[in-house]
Amino acid sequence: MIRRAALRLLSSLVVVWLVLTTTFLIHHALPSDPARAVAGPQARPADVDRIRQRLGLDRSLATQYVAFFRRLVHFGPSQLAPKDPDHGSCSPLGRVHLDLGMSFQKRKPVAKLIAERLPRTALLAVAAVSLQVLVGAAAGILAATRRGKLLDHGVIGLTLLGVSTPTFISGLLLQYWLAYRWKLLPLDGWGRTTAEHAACLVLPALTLGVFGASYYARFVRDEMLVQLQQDYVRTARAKGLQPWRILVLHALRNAVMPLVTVVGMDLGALLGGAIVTEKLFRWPGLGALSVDAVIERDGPVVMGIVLVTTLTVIASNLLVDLLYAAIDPRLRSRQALSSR
Amino acid sequence: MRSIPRAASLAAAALLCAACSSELAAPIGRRDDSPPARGGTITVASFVGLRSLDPAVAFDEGADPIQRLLFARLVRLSRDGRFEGELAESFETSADGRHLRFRLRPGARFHDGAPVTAADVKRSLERALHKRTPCPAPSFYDRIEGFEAFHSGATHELTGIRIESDSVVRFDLSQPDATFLAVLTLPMAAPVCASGGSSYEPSFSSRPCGAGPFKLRQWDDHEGLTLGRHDGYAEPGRVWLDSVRWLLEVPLTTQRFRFERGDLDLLHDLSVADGAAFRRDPRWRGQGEWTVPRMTKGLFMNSRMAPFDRLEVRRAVAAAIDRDSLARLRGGCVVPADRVIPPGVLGHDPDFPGQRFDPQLALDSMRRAGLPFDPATGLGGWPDTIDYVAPADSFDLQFAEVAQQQLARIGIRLRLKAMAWPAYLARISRAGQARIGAAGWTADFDDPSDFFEPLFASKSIQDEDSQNYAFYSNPELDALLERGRAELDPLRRRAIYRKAEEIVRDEAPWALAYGYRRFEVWQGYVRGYRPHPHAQLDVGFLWLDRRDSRGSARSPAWNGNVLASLLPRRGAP
Repeated sequence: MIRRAALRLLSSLVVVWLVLTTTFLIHHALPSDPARAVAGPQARPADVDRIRQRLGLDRSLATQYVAFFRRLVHFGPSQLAPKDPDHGSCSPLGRVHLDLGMSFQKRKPVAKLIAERLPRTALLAVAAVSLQVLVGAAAGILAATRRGKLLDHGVIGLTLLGVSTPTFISGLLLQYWLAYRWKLLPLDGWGRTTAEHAACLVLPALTLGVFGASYYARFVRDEMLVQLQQDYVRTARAKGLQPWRILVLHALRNAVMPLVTVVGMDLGALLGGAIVTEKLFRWPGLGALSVDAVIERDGPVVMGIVLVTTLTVIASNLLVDLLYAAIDPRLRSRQALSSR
Repeated sequence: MRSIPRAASLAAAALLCAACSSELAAPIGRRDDSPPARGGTITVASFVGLRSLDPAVAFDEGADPIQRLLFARLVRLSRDGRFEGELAESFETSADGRHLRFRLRPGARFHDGAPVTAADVKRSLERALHKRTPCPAPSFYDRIEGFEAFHSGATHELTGIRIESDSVVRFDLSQPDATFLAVLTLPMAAPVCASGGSSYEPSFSSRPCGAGPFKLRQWDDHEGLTLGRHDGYAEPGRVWLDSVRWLLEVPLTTQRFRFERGDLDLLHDLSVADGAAFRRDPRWRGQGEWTVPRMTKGLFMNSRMAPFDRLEVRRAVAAAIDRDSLARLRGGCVVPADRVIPPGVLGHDPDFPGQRFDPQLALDSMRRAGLPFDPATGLGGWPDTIDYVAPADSFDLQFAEVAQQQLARIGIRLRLKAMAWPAYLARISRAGQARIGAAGWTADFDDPSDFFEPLFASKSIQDEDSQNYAFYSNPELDALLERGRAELDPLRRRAIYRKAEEIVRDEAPWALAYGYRRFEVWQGYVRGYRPHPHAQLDVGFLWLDRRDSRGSARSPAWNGNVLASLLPRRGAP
């Protein structure tokens, strides 16, 4: 078991290193100049040169690469002095420092920028995925149990619409009707109090939820239809089990297995930021930050967000594996056998 | 049952149509003349975000209007294009143009209550030009004596700024510089409080302190800024508002929704369609106005690459662009332009005969270039297709499509290459990389030299990072521009830049084509506001008359929605 965990950790570290290295190389291969992006499109060349030197972008690619990884996790003082020139961009965890550098554009430590925004993105991601799963699974089950009936067709039609509508359209429509016309919700923003945060969360979560729930509903419906025709369901019916028990305890349990994988991947992706939705509703999360960073060639922020996204995808995959083991007794017994 | 998806699609389409066809709300407040009255908060929004509020480092579209509220400068530009004192009570330039003396207004105070002194002026400019400060444009001030030594870190003092007394400061220049007053109007030259220190410190951006008409009360990255009136401002009695709320990174659609609901008092970032809707609506007549273009756009032709190394080909291109046809695009936001200096910049000469559309002249020029083209058969012209580079998702690309059609009529066939903005910029500023492409320049400061020197002077040509995208070199123009920068006599200076305009018109390194303007609208209770020709969103000195107003700007997140009224509010009784 320990060996398996160690291997998993090692492979995760290799994935992180590979992703970061690839991002670093792609970012530097782009035919544009981060110093120019900082100085402005009309800045004079001499001024751009000075900015380039100040940001350390005049050093060789290899030097910048080594410096990034050397600084990424290092040891330093557990208490930082104000304006410490060597650790000004560090986030200390005791003597271990995480240093993602300073944002070229915002001139703040990247770790701090991400730490401010990650919880907001996580909140949106969890709210959206919860909505997607609850609404999507319920609609999928209903449609599967009423196969060929009006309700089934209705769910299929609506989910087709939901899946086909891009979030920038559905978001705009929801904003127009729910916030502008009917004044039920704030138009956009983040708010200042918990109640305001909750109210501001509804529209972006709903926008992401419409798309995801439609997708999940179709997914669950198809899986349920397959399961409902299996022998064990026929046996359960023959044994006289109540329909809801067959549906929920037997068929649904098997139908959600593939859904867990999809939800895990979606959660990982959403934790990296929902770019369009965050921009549309001025939700101050990682999505808005990442799109700005890419456009403005803000290398340290891009690297920081890629690191966070990679880690969240790895973590969500791990979570999916654990959930699989919890849901599927066959996996538990297989693991027990292999550990003997 | 197949009709259900179709019905759902139709319902959604109807919903969308209903959203699109909605009518504008009426303006809030009465439109009449009322005397200025103190009080009130104005709420405005920007589509762009804010990177920093430190005037030494923030030099962009988002920061500029806010910095003008926070930081008073020695001088500023009046609506009629004259330099007038803001912190300076008076100022004078010596006969040789090398010495400028400023007397500060008595009573001008920083936001922390300290008086503004000559030493603060010197310290602040030294701070901005310090070696460690990532100032994006220190070279604007490179004619101050001792600049190079100070900026390189060789000396600790900028010797060209001299403190004659607490209230008198003198700038000594190494050469006469007619642009110097213009660059002093930029926020980066504005005095900052002693807490700003003598060199750049990143935390100053979160607690900016200057001597402008408003001081910072609150700044949330996600909610925007709140500024409060500064009673120690150099011109007491000019500021009427109690406070200014500035929302950041608000999408255009949301800005319109907010404005119509009364959550915004002034709308600056209007989409083309929304601008047209406001202009059409008679209820909004008198509540909106166009801004004055401060940019020149068109296409550059690389004068070192075929076929644009031939003067007659460049002239043909300049004569083939039908500028008036562009005015039909974008609902009036595009203004045809035929010269380098746009109307919103000092030195614009409305009587100058610029480049003009003349299809016959264009064909004649192609013939003289040895590339005759027959429009009837489509034969002749330049044999190859030429790549035209333009930034993607921009009006430049739409203009490129127009240019592609118009240049095809004289035998120049273009293939459009849309690129991300940074990649486009890197491509056009590298020698030998782009033969023709979109080009534009927005005023950094109000002076013709800000356009001519980077775009057309030989000294701006570099293998990398060239701002002279046409790689155009003309010793006569270079000499003129040198004279223009040093010439202090307005009439002689005007003649110099008129000659420079003639050279660019005739040699056509660019085909000048258009400028871009915005349409701004404001509520009926907003008084004393019109777009400033030399500064965008100049909201510092307007006032509000909310008699009979049924609404006013509210908290940005809450917008008076139903759910909000049911939930507890912080600070609510």
